Amino acid sequence: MALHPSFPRSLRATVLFCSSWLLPGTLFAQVPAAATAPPSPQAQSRSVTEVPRSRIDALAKKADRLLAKGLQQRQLQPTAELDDTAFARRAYLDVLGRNPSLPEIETFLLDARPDRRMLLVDRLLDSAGYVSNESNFWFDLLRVKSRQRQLSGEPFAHWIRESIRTGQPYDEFVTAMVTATGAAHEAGNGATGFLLRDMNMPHDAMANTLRLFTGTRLECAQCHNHPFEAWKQRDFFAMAAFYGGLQYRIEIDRETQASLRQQLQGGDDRQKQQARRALQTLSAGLRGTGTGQERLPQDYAYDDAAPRSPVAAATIFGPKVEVEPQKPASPQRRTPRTRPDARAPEVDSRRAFAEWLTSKENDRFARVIVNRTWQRLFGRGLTDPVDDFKDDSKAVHPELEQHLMKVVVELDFDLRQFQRVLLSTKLYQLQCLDRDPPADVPYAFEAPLPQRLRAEQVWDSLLTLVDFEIDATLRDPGERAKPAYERQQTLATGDVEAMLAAGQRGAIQERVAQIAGGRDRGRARAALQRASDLEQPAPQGHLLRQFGQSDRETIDGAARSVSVPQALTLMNGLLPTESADAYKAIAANEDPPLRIRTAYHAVLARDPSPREAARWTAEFAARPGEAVSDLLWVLCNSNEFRSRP
Amino acid sequence: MTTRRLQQLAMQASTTTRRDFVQGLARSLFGLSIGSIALGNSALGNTRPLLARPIAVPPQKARQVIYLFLRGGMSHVDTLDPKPGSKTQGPVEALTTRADGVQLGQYFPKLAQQADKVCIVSSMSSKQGAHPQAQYLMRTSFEKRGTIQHPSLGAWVNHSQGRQNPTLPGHVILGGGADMPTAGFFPPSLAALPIGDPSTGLQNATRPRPISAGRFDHRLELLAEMNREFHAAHQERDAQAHDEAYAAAVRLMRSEDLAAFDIDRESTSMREVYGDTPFGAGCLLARRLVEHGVRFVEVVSDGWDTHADNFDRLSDLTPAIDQGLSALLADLDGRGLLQETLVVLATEFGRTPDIDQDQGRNHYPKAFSCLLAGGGIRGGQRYGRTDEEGREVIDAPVSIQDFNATIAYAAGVATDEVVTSPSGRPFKVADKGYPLTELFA
Repeated sequence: MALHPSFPRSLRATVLFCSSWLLPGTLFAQVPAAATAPPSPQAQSRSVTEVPRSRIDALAKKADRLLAKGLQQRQLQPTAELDDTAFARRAYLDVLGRNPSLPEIETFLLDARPDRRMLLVDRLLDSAGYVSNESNFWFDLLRVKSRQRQLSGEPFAHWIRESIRTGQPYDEFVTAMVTATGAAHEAGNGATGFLLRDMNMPHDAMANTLRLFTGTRLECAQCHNHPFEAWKQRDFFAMAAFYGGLQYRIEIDRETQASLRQQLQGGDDRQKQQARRALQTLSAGLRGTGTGQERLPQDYAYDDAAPRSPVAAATIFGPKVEVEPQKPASPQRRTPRTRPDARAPEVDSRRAFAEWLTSKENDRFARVIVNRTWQRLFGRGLTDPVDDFKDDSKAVHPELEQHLMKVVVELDFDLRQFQRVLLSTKLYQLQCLDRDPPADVPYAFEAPLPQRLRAEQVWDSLLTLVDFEIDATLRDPGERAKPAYERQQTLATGDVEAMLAAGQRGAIQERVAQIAGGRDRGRARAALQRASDLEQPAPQGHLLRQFGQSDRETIDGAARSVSVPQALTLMNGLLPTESADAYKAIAANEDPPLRIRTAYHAVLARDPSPREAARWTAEFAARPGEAVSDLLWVLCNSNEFRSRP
Repeated sequence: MTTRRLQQLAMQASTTTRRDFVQGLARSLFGLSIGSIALGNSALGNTRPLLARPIAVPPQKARQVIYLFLRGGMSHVDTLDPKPGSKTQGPVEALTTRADGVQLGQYFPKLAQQADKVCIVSSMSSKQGAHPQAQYLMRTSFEKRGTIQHPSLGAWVNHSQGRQNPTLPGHVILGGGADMPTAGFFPPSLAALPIGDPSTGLQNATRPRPISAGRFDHRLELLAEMNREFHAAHQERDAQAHDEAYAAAVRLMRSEDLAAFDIDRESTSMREVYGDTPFGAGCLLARRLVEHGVRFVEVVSDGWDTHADNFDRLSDLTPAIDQGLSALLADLDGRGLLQETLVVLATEFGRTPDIDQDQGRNHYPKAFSCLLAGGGIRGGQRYGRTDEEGREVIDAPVSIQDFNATIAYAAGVATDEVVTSPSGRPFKVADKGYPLTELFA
């Protein structure tokens, strides 16, 4: 198993070969039939069923009708329906981000109610696992990193988890990120992490914002007129002007600053370094509501304006919004360290931008999230690619896309409810296409496309084999951010001694170790956490990275392709052993056919085929001592395990 | 694929069967005959070409390529193209080197001693200033598109030249992230084997001790049976790639050359020469791999996007490159491998000659520098020139495609050969690039 490199070597063997201490030794037989997980700190604050099922079904039915119409025009036949077990595995992977555990799938199979599938969907959307899975999705898009040089990314991660848990509407979520100001490490202010991710690069921040939330690619126009689109470089700067004057340091009070500066000058090298770090941490944050003005670059090469001339903020697509920048009140003093722009008056241009971005008239805002969500569930966007809209980009089923854009607005940008609609469509219940779709025509969705599991799904599913109640280990959404908050608080007291202590390298790591229990056992437990609760991204060499987790340098940077090291890891490096819940549950049965069925349920959430059952019954007869672990090995290494049904 | 057992596949080291396998794969995946998709001399063995090539193949000088990629955009003015005395130079001084007229930034003292082996291409120029797109362009010669994946240079070289060592992958990438260059429209077997941390090498490449060889083989047989059933409903390329990766993994486990991946077999003094850094370890592992016949090894170094505190950060970043690259060149030379190994140092773009208020330099694709050495390249030269402030290319501009064409040419890939993708579109290894043949001795 790929454990964190810092994980104590002496304990590695324990985790790999004898992980019983990890879990309260629950045998499957003792697990109550339903609702196994105790309430988790990540549980949803509101139930998804507050919106009546009937309303969701009506919206889903209309989507089905529009899709059916489009398929008819193309004379395409939908594929056959999935069976119950495959549906359950798909829903668990999509909503919770992992395979169902053995008790979960067997509970579902016992459910005889006719609407069991939709009851399952609603139950999953209400659970803590949903928060974990959605966090992974947003962490990937927003390039969340636990550490970004001197900056902690944990407050940002915390804020994202908390937004998901409390059901913050998507438009408010985006507005909060685009308009955030104040200290980066202050509790509750994690939204600053979004713009701080592109610290000192406001132009990249604007390009990334537009790609993420309007599916519009303007990166090219940062440096020159767009080669294929109508955008001019000047247009890019008109957009960038909404972030004009943004500063990545907040002001700290004079006394604190003075005493730290004294340390910076007077102390020995170590003290100087501590003082510098303390100052950097304390002042990290965002300042400025936006001046609505940006200057063209020094090497601006086109005839329509002079280099370095100011450009006022103005939107270049969607509804027109212009901001009138204001002249500085008094002649500005220029020092080499200040930008002249930074001194222009703040006119709240970030707020104006956020209003434009999230307004119902700016249809690209709804369009991109509709397509991203569709892509997650069905393999590709209705408009493909989902974040590179051109003026002539057309959805494969325009009416369907329009309908879904209306739905997401009508649901007040509640993305959980929107997913619920898509999860309630007929299409979601169909078998995947059994091949790659033709490359030369837009895919029309007669079936969901086959998908490989993402790194997080692989890791979390493997954990589920070890611990059937893995979601109960999900931690308080803010736990990882606590050290950063506490450090900020210490710094803000102005007590120089305490500040210097907090400026020490490693102060954060020590605190993390304390929180994890301070004991090796605590650290080990911390290592076997769901992907969303680990360091972001997982360290190089971790199984998550090996299986394609994004390095968080680029938007949506994860890969799903299979590689030789992945195969080596699953074949030789990692397997749930005798003390894993799945192993114990299988071994708890005497009867080989029952053992075989239990193993298939635990790993693939389905019954074995008659041929498979016969084959393995023979194996059990011939090699009773080895068959259980061989069976688990084969199932975990199978192509099917890596494939979403 | 669907009709073969994984176990059988794994056992088949024979290149003839491998070739048959590729043909079968090509048919089942693309519905085309091998000829029409011009798989040519497949990557999976040193076999005779399947088709007579209609065009002349350049004389292959470099049997293997080590491609060092500095991700993020290396500042050309501070490294390979210093401009002493100009207002754009900043605090980094210029060093004279063993080669006449070739100067380097001050953080390359060791490379300065090896300058007679290298050719600096200082007139690189492109229009792509965004990281992912520019990295993609650098590694594939094509603009990034939503509609097709282009193969990376390493995949092309393997596709064209085949493997030298049938039990090892032909293409390895050390220290790369998730956004790795891919095999594109070539078979997935041409994708790079990724190794995250070069100093730990390839993990889990041996059977766990309690599992006997016989039991392991039996497991593989059972697995192959299980996958066969799965493939009835899953003919997509990704599912095929899964079995391919397993077959390659098993082949690797049985390889006699597995030790190639283990730099612990190098002496402490050798490791010290390369430097105790991820990049140094990467260079050392790259040398071991090419010694064992791996065609194309890429080593990635991160952190070159120096928007703020450019000079401080370069003083941290550059010494590892100086040491690793210099050690690599000297070591290859000492082993008589430099003539047949092309060493490339590349980055996706340069950085602005102007220094901003954060002591940073920003993205600058208009003019930047890369480096070539070995593989028949004439050392001690600087190719192309930028103006006195490093802003504009004023002599012999080199496009990214030309640069890649030069690498391809050195490795024996015909740059004018057209390969048709499964979707029926024609591609050349370096698009419209033209090799700089004058760089070769």
